Amino acid sequence: MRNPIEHMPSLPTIVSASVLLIAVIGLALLEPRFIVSQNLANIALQAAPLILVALAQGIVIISGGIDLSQGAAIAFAGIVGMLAALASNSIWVGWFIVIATGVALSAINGALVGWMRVPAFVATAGMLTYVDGASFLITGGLPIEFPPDGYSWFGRAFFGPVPVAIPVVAIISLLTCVLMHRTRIGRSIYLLGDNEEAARIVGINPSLCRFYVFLIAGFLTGCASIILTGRIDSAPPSLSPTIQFEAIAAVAIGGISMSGGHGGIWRAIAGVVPVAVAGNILNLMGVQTGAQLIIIGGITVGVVALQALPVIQLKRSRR
Amino acid sequence: MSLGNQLLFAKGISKRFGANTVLDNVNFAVEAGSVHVLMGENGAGKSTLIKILSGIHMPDAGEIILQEECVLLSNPRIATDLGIRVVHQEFSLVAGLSVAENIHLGNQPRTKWGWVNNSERTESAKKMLDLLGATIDPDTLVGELTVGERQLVEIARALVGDAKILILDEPTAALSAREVDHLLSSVDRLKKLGVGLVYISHRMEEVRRVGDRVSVLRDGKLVLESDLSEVEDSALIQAMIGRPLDQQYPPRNFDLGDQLLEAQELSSPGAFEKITFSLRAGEVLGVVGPTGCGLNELGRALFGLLPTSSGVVRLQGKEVSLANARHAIHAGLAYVPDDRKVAGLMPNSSVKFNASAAILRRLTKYGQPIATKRENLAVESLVKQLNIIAPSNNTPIRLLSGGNQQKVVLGRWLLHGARAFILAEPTRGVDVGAKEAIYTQINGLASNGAGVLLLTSDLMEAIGMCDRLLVMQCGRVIAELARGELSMPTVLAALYTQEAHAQPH
Amino acid sequence: MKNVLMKHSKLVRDIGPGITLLIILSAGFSYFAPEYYRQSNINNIIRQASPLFIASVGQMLVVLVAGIDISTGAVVAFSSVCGALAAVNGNAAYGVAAALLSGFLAGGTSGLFVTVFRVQPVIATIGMLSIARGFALVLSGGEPVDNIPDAIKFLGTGEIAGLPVPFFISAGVFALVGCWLSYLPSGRSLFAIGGSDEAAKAAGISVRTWRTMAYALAGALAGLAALIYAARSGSGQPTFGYGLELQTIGAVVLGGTTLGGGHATLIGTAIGALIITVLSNGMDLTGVSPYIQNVVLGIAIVAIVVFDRLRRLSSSQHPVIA
Repeated sequence: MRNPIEHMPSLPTIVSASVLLIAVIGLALLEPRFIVSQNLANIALQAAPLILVALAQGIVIISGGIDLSQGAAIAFAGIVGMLAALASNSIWVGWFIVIATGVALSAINGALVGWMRVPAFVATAGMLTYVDGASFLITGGLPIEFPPDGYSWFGRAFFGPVPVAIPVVAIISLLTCVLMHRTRIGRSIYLLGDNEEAARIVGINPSLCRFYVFLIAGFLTGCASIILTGRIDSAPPSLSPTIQFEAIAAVAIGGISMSGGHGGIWRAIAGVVPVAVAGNILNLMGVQTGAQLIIIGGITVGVVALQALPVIQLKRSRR
Repeated sequence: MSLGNQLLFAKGISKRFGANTVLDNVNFAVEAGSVHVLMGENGAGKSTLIKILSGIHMPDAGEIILQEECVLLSNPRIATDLGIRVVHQEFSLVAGLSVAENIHLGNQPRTKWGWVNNSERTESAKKMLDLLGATIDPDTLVGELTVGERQLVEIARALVGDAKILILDEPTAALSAREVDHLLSSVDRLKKLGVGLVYISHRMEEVRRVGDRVSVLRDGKLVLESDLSEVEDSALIQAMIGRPLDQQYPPRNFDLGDQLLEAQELSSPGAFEKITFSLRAGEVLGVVGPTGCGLNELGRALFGLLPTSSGVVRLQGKEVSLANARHAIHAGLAYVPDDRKVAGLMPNSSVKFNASAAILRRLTKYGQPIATKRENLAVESLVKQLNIIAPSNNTPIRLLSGGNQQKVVLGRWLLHGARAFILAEPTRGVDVGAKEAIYTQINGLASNGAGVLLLTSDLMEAIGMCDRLLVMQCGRVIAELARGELSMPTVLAALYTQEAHAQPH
Repeated sequence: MKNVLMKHSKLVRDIGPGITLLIILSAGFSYFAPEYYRQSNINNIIRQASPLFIASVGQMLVVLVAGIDISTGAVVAFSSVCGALAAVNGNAAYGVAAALLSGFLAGGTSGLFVTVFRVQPVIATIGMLSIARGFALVLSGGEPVDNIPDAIKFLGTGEIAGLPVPFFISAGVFALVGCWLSYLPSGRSLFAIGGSDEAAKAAGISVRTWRTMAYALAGALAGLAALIYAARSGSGQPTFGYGLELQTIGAVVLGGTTLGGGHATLIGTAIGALIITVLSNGMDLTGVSPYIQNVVLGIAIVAIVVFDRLRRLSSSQHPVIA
């Protein structure tokens, strides 16, 4: 069966790779501050938590859902964790609580989506609202500050020139990739996202599997929260409100199918690179938030639209 | 062939898809007030011919003459405007809208301001329904109608606005005996009104009852055309499959073992009632019935996919939990669903992923990674054994042909080593070549001591492949035929003359 | 005769729970806050519910064609800024036109992505969410656009015959959309498209056109709602509409429209919008902090969808098989 499409890298991947290349070369020429090692370390530091969030989003999308609550969950988990650290004066308790909160919040979504059959966008959009409200409620609008010494280690410490966050994220990413590609739970997630009914027939329990998906995602966003709150040494009620959109963009740009069931999880990491680089360049050029939002939104939809082009061509040639 | 009142003549129609010649120099004529039956196996070219007649495809060669004028049916709208209407197998009705609105879907009668004229629409709908002799209230929602009533609404829809030619594609596939009767009398009425009908079916009784002429396609060619009164059933069957019926299906030896799978008084509300059967090792037990009468639901229920209200299922004497598929798999059951696109395949996943899907638990110890080497070996051997044709084991399975896809869907259970196989419509949408491979495989299963429960609406397949046959109608088993009684006449007799109690609705 | 009852029973099933909830809430709030039943408060409720209702009608149209619109709030912000800018630099008429047109374009773009490029509605509207919010920020420079003409302010704050102007605007939307959906072939086709893509296509309905139109109209309605919001606050603000999309989804589901498409009730959406407004109005009157209100609203809407799902699951337990 001659079918060139499956053997070529997908169109969105080509596009984003080219864009990245052009952007890096072109703007390195235009904006000399870009290549300075300090800036590159900066990008890596920015990208590290985004990688975790993108992995989480990628797993949810592969299972056929979507998660709009990540930003709110990260902020809330950060707040609760820091409060716990302050109350117990132990950084380990704090870190544990951050992750536990992330998992717990995600478990709520998992239960709603998995067993109550609530559409993922409603459940997570709802969580965005009420968890956000809860964050403001608890903090009264002001960030929680002055955590015990060492709490912000993951966000601020360096091994020589390299931020600690990078190897930590690298390890977690590796484990996540192994989880998705080499374990039964990972394989089940792919099969489920591809065709829920067929997955049911081969013995996968869709509700339980979706629940696990959200648990894993919650763990990853909890880790991201530790790094993010560590970086600024405080837990504000609104930490990174756009991070889930950046994550969705990364997943799309990386080439994971938005309808689920397809696309190596490593692609989520790959997609973070253009997003982080583009964000950095835009910041350096002084582009305001609004314009950045436009660009992110446009690229996300544009890339997903590109995914459809081969299909449209195929259909036309059927006549 | 008498010209009479010829409405349509398709002359020398040929069509190729890529390297595949789907139709080869086919002639087909439709006369007013008569029924021309079109017969042939899956893949013989019937649906392509219909698509050409209705404007969905254009032929590569040949012409279509409509009432003495040569016409170019380049899109469906043109065909519809010229009076050629098709009633397809898959219903194109909207359940949430009323009968009247569905009948006029896309074509609502309007007042002079352009608004939809509800009363005129209801009246017009009533007129169409009356033409068919159907007593359906035009204001009911389609979602609340029975399957047979929906079929009539579909036909009514096709009649709106001066229909000259009506093409019915397997119209009785999902109907009960009483509904078939209803439909056929509607067809009679349409004949009297001068409509020219094309009727696709392989059910001999219906074909005999309403048909005037018959054409048989095989492998894209017209192999038989005659008045129905001048040809016998056996000649028709032979024309369709190319050899006598008893040579169509691969031979088997019948070495039956102990009782393997049994069901007792199994009921699922709204689907089927008090099903009892017993399947022995090495046996192929068939279950036939018009689709929609609980056949596929039975399959799903046995595998834990449909809730049951009462009854027991036992495999090798041990009771099987019907809570979910995992229990069924663990007990040693296998299930191939009737619609592989909807429930059988993971379309974007690779052949390997699909093939190994049922044995994931065996490939991993808890928490540890999947044993890739073992997985690859297992899939390789399966591909070789079933002769699955694919560019590689990592190809997305949606790119394979229907036959190869079905081989994978069946094959995944071979890897699992199940004892009892529940196969629902195993050769649906599969071309002739791959069908044979699947039949051989099924026989292989039985020879190796497994038991096969074959749920099918293809009567010829049932007769050719099974040792015993259960006949279902409206959720109940109404007859059981032993091997000696398996022939088309007896099966049809069991199917059409016995009426089960009507289901309340 | 039987079907007249059946037709009405379907309606009752759709809006019954909504009306019950409304009565309970109203009774509860008027017990805890006696000001609830004063005319001025009722007017307040109507004034607040109107833009929510209008935006929810847009959401209803999109849900009807089996889609979803997560960008409602962002489009409201975008339209309010466009409208305010046009009104300030031109006149009130330009302002109204700009708001409606910008909303229409935003919605239409989402719609095109869904129909032509087959992007999932969630993704397409998430993209639009970013884009619209971004444009709102860029065009407004991050600040509210003040000094909009009085003519527009009247739309939000004025009264005619003792009832707030927004009420009449809502009534107009109700009448127009209601007629379109019930009596015009294009409106009816939305039901077919949402019910079954293939059936609609087979019937010759232009699925692409009308599905895109549903999204575009949703955007225009968001633009109309934006005008009222802008009118009430005296300016167009890029920060409008946070959380609005969730509220519109809540209103739509509460009213009996199914998220899967093919079915929608306009009256139900009105009741749904009313309930959500009553809820937040009641919480205002009883002195609940805005943060808690957010939490309550968010949880309430998710709960609404959960109940709706459970209700549908339990009612389809016994499928009819002929």
